[in-house]
Amino acid sequence: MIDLQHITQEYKTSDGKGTFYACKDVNVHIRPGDIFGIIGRSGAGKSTLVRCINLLNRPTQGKVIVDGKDLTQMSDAELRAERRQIGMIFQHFNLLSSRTVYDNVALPLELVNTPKDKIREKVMPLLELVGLTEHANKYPSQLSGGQKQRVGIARALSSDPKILLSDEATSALDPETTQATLQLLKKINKELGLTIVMITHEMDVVKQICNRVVVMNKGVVVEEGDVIDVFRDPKSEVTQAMLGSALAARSLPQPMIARVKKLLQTERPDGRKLHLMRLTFVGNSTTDPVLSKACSLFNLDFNILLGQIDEIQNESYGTLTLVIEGTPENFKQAVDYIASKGVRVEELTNVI
Amino acid sequence: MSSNIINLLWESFLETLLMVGISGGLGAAIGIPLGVFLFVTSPKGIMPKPFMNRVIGTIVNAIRSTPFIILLVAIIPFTRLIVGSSIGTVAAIVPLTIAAAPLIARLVETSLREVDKGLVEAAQSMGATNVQIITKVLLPEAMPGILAGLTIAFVALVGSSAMAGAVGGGGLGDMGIRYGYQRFMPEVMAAVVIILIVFVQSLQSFGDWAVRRASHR
Repeated sequence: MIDLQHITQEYKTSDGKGTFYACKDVNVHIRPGDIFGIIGRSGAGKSTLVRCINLLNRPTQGKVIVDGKDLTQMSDAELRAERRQIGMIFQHFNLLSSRTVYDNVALPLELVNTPKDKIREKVMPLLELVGLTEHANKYPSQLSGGQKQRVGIARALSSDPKILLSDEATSALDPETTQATLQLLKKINKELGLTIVMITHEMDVVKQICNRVVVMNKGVVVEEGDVIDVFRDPKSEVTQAMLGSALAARSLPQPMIARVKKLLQTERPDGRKLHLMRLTFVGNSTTDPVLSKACSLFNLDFNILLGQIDEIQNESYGTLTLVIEGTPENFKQAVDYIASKGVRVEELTNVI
Repeated sequence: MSSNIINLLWESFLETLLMVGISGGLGAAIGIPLGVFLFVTSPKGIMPKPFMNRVIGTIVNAIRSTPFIILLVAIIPFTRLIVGSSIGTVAAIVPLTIAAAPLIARLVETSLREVDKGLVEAAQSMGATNVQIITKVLLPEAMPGILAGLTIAFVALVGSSAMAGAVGGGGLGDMGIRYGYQRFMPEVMAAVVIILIVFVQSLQSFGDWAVRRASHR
């Protein structure tokens, strides 16, 4: 659907001597029907990259291929026609304050001289889809943030695009409104079969609706994959740091760490030792009594410090932080047993 | 005050109205497109033409920096070319228009700069042409600012029109000088000033009302 090949965007630095790369040799492939997340901190180059898809930003090098056509080779008129296939929504909504809700949604249709009755046939169902029928004649200043973004979505959909680009569309909204907006985007993806590309700095957003994700840092892609894989097993440090906030419960509170440290140093009878472990469960392993079986098989005791379970892309995903006590031999066998059941096992004893 | 004087005041008021109305209207007709041109052709505008932008910008600044009383007499040959005479109310309209257009252009340019760049980006993402961006996004969004700017320009024209007496243009300002000052008739001076105050006040109130109507922010 969208193929970004070797995208490089250079800027001269303010002193005119150096070159700054907003994007450097970025390759991204987006399939039809994807809800594709581009995540990164501010300044990571994600905004530049998403603007390359409709050439609001013309990359210094690289190809932008949408539906098999290279946008960078098109004439202005061809590009304008192609842009109608690519809707876009913005963090600050970018609605025209001089137009009513209805007229804002009608704007993309007016641009191609659609007759008034045809505009009405198109706009009213869209306002219904986003739940704003009764606000049709209000001005944007009379609406709340969430309502404004829904106008933005309806406007982006009015030219029947195949792709929807979202530039931090939920970043200016409160958590509840963010939820509603994300659900609306998901619904659009399912019902209209739209491919959605969204940039965000919030892992939670990716977790909730994206199926694929790239993580960007300093203009390069540091990680790419299915969302569930990236969340389960983040490879790059940047991803791990960003996941930190999405899975805050993965870390113990500071005072507790001190107490656990002390506990781990205490002597136990019969050559038994204490180990601080983290288990990560995905999918079926979340419902199997793996831990209980391991303890009875290998004569272990355990104490749960912290647990969390979450759903990503309809797959459960859980972590458990616990202290396990056992003889070195039994402990090793137990770790192998648990790992063989598809649970990721990490020892944190020497990490904290 | 004799009825003669009252008649004269009325005629002078009509002359002022004529000069301000026509030169303001023509000034807007030239100044608004000029302001749009200055905005869109600036180096970071939607159709950058840095050279033309500099040339037009310099001309605009040159006219704006010329005191009106000098402009009035300096362009007499041009005025004669356009309206066939260099004296009278109609002749005063030419320099007034030439003074108003650059002022309006700069005021329009400033209002256009206030339009959120995100709106232009949104229109481009919809596949709008540059002309559509100007007519459907920039001008409607800047309308409250443009109307406020036009109000300023019209009030400034009332002031400038007082100098039209120098080319026999008549008007309230001219009457105030000739009767109130040169013939020692302070009551005429007072009447002229009061009429001007009421006139400017009404212009401003009308402008404010128009801005409120156009603004939906």
